[in-house]
Amino acid sequence: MASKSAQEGHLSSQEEENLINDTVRYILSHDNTKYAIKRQDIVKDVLKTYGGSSKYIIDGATRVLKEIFGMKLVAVEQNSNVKHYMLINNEKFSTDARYMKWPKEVESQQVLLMLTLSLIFMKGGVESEEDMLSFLSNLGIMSKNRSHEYFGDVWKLLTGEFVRQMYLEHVRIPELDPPKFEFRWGRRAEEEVSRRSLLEFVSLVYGTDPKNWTTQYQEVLQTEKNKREKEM
Amino acid sequence: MSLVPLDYVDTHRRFLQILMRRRMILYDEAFDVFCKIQQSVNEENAANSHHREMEQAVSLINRVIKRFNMEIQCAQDEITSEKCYLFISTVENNITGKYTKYSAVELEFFKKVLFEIVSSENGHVSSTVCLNLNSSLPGNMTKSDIEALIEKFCEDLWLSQKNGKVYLSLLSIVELEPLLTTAYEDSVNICCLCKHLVIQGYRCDKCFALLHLHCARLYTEGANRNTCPACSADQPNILAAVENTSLHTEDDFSTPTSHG
Ligand SMILES: [Zn+2]
Ligand SMILES: [Zn+2]
Repeated sequence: MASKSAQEGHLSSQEEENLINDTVRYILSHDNTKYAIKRQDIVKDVLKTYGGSSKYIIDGATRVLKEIFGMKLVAVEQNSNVKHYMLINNEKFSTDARYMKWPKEVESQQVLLMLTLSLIFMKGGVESEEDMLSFLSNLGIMSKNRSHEYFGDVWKLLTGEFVRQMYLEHVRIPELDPPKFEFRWGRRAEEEVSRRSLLEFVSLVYGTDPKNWTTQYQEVLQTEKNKREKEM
Repeated sequence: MSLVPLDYVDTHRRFLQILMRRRMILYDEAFDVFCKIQQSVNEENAANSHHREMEQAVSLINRVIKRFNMEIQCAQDEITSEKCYLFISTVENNITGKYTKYSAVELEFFKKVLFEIVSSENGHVSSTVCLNLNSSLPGNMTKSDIEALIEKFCEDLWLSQKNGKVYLSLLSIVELEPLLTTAYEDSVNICCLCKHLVIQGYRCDKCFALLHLHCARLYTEGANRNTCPACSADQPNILAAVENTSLHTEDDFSTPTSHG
């Protein structure tokens, strides 16, 4: 019976709405970690025998999250079998973050993250491990083998937490021996972080006009154009 | 078919996101945030917002999120009488509910603390008593584990601690009211004025009824009387006890989301 009702089209509209509502609650309850949610976990914890309708239900939940909560649920395909979802904050609402009152720890992580993303952006989208290290050491944020009293264990955040939250990618540079790694923007950063406000921030620090950073400014315009087109 | 009414706009979405993430916010601060959102949406016409506009926005949000058994409620703090907005789950509470982030042992500890507070004389429990609960928990939790756990519950706004005492947060009291009134039916106090759970308040020395300070103030001051609303016994001290609680105008309580 379960397998029959699990087929698309066999759900009553009430059952369907209940499953969508449950899925939304489940996704929102994971919002605090910012980790991606596995499709399999949604099936295991929420949909259960209705796993066959998961695509349909998750599409419904995506619509609810957008129209009611103003959030975006994005599918991230890691490989063809494993599908993840990520709940993204609307870039338009990013100024609201200041009303959220995060715990101290999260606040310091946000600062570190913005510094890291700025650096990668200013360096054309990719930064080697060595350069990242020396950048952070020069700022006094990182010293070898010691945890910073405000930022905590910086390297662990950069290569662990931020990667898991998909703000950063920490990938091996191919065909190098001994192996070397580099940092790039992760999928969540692409969706949530505005290049324009980062560039404005950097310009403020250097006392320049954002337009003077020609390459970066072009990239700002280009990504904004792409986002507009995608939204249409 | 649209999921939201036509007048549900980005202001509602943004305000909802903030309330949902904060979960407990002072009414005045919420109003401040609401005004800032209004101003950023409507730059050229940045007229000052009115409390009523925010309350209307909240009741529209409540209509829209009802399908998830979520609700924004307005309640007053038992001690300070400050008005707060709380983002709560109305069917299954968020702490012990289906999608809880806590482990079984952590929840067991929390339930023991709940019991201690609800069955106490004054609505709180000493930190020492909490630390000693480790012996009655499964696993080998040390006192410092418990200390960290209490802090975690405080950070998550379920408990608060001050001067060596552990209290239930307003968020807990409101969200866990259905659970507490069924699980500890014999120990909990219901305020006879507003018919809601009360943990700390004014206790009548004749019938031992417990009243919210803010409810007692409305009752006594409005009619200029100093009697217990439950047993009518004279309570010469009641006026002094409620004197320091702030009195809100009737207008504040006319919204359908009011509570407590
Ligand atoms: Zn009351
Ligand atoms: Zn009495």
